[in-house]
Amino acid sequence: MSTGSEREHHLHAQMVAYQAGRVEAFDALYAALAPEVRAYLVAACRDASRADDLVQETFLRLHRARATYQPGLPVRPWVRGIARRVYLMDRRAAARRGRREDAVVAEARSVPAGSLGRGGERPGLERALAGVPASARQPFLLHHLFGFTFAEIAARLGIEVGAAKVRSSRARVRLRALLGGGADGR
Amino acid sequence: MAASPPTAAPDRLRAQVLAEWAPVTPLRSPWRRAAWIAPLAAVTAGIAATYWGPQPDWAAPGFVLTATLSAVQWTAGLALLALALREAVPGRTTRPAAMLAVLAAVVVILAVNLAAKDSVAAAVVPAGREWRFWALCFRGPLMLAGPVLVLGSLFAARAFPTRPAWAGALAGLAAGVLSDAGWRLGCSVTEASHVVGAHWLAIGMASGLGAALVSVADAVRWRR
Repeated sequence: MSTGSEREHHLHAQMVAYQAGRVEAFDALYAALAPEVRAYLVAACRDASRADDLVQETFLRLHRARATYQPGLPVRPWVRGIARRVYLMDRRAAARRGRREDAVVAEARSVPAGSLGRGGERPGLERALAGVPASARQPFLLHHLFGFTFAEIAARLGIEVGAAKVRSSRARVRLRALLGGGADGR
Repeated sequence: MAASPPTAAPDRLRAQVLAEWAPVTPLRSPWRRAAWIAPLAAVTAGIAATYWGPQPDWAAPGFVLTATLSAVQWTAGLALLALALREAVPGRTTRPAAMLAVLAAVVVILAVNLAAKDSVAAAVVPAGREWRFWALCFRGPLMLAGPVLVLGSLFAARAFPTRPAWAGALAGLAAGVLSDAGWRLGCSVTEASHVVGAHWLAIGMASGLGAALVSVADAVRWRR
């Protein structure tokens, strides 16, 4: 088992090779750092699927900022700094999305009775929607309420098409549970 | 079941990384980068000091002290610039207590310089010309701080700051302090209300502009 200083020495060597343009150094750094970055992001955002997206974003930003690493300094605080910034920017974007969703919900409230179900069900639906994680709620609403395709939603939110489908599906399952319909969707 | 820890980069990420692949030159140390800006800072401070021509207090016996303290202020400004460039590097952010200590040190240096100059050759703003003197001594150091402010902010923005507003504020503060190190020699007034209300306000404004500049540059880059 390697000690902390050996590990840091290895990371430093990989980082220098990465800056010099060796592709395999990126893979080595990813293998060495991704679990740690993911653990940090899961703890920060408490949403494993969101954390997985942010790990990719962190490594993309890390790649673009690789020149800012100063050889001789520890690698992990540098990576942690980038991951933290990615998380904070995502949180800010999520807050903006939340405000837009509020507008969507307000718009949904103006939909004539019967469009979202029986008139008496709508307040319950809105409450249930509020219980769905923000990252899943938006793809769900954009698809089921406004009729966007998943490709359009993916482009709009800057995520993969598959991720948009998965999140929308998660939102649907969660909504069913919250509305007391059970797993079969009734 | 918890997802297994990632060990290989996903194809999409790898493709994006390879599309932007190129060897890079590592960023130099903050002191080295600050030293690149130092000649420009020296020139602008020199222009600031001589803008109004020789001042009455230059012939006073204590002028050596005033000039020496200006040199100390200029050196402190350069150290601030290095701190701003250090703050801009991920993982090297300055702790709040250290940041407060730095700000307190800047205020102490400015206050000591003001008191020293006042003891060497006290001078007040001529009656009825307060606003004109204020405008000149607010605008002058601020404009002369411009080149260092812009360059320092760009250097800070390029380093991927994790707190862009802080990094920019420090870079702007440094530019203001560097510029004022010269301007205070060219302005013979030692009245506290003038120095604080015009010179120090210009330094504060430079700091605010630096924060805005780096924040905007960072936001633009983040959208890419």
